[in-house]
Amino acid sequence: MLGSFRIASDVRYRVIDDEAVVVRQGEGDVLVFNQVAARVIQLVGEGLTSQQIGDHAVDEFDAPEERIREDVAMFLEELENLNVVERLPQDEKNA
Amino acid sequence: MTSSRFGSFFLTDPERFPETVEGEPWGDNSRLLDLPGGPFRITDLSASQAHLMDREYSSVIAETQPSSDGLHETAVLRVQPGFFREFDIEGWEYTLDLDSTPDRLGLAALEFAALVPWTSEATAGLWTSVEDAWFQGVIENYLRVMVAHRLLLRDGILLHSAGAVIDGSAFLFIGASGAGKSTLARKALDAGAPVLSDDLNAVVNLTVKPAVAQLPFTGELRDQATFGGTVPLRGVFVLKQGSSVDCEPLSRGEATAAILATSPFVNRGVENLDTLVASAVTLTSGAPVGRLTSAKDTTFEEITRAVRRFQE
Repeated sequence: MLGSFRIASDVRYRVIDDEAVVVRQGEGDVLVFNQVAARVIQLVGEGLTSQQIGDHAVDEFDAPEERIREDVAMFLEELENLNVVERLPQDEKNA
Repeated sequence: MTSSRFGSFFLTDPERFPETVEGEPWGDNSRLLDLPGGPFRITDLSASQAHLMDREYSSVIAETQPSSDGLHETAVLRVQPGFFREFDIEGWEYTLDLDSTPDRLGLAALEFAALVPWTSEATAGLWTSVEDAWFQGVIENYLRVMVAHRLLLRDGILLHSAGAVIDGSAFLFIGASGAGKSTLARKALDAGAPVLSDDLNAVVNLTVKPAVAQLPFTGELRDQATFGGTVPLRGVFVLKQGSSVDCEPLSRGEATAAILATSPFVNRGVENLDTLVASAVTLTSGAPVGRLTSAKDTTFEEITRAVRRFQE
């Protein structure tokens, strides 16, 4: 799992009963994500790196570690493709 | 409409979009409107513009200020017709340009531009080149945007919805264009049920006891909306087309998303998103939100029964 992310500037989200409701102002729409994706969004919002997000997810969800890390990586990629999160530039990540 | 730059579709020269509320008044008439999110005072109207407002908004025009705080004032200012681009509106679906910044809201639309400072005591400016029947469209489209923004600041939310009264309570039916709002409203009217609007409804008192306040804005029904006043809100339903009638609950996340998606104008600016999301969450706590599936030939009586079963 490479790279770190942040919530896109035109995105607002709220976690409600384990689901994430995400408003993408740039796209003009609203998305709903399940519990795991909601937690990933929350942890991105808290400024955690991809590695740290994977570590948290392994601690919090009851499933094999390898599968959880794959799910987290998949969700991050999906969220990036949907412009919900954006990849931090390498220099900013290391700052 | 696709335009990358604010106002470029509507204004001949977007560079001339006013950045201060200055200009030539149309006249010295004013009207006070007691609308949800208001009151709103519209000043500097010509006699013709004021007459049009009297005709369309007689039910909400107030002689004296109905409440002591929250008055929002807009000056109507004159610009030359060449200020706006001419284009063929045949088949054009109405839209407008919004430009929201931390300081103000900019609006560019068919035959008008507006600048609305967020500071509550500052006067907004509405520039138009028309005072004939076109002005009716201008002022209504401006007021729709203003009600949406002001409601959000005053414990309310505007929903793109059909509103009907069942058993003395208001039910809102939300959905994108083509979802069946006007059809449902028409079925309600045909069944003798009071209809609030087939287009926009204002939910007020969100945090205390949500209620629906009727607005003088309708879609296809125009003046056929039959109910006036404020009614307690009992439920919100996302419309879905299917082969039979059924109501099912939504998760709170789905419900919140549906409400956000149908909150016109305010869901297009980053400045309002935090407040809007909070208001939508509050609404899902105050009123049950479900999905209503119905077919073309479903009667309003069948819808009413499904809604009642859902409430139980």
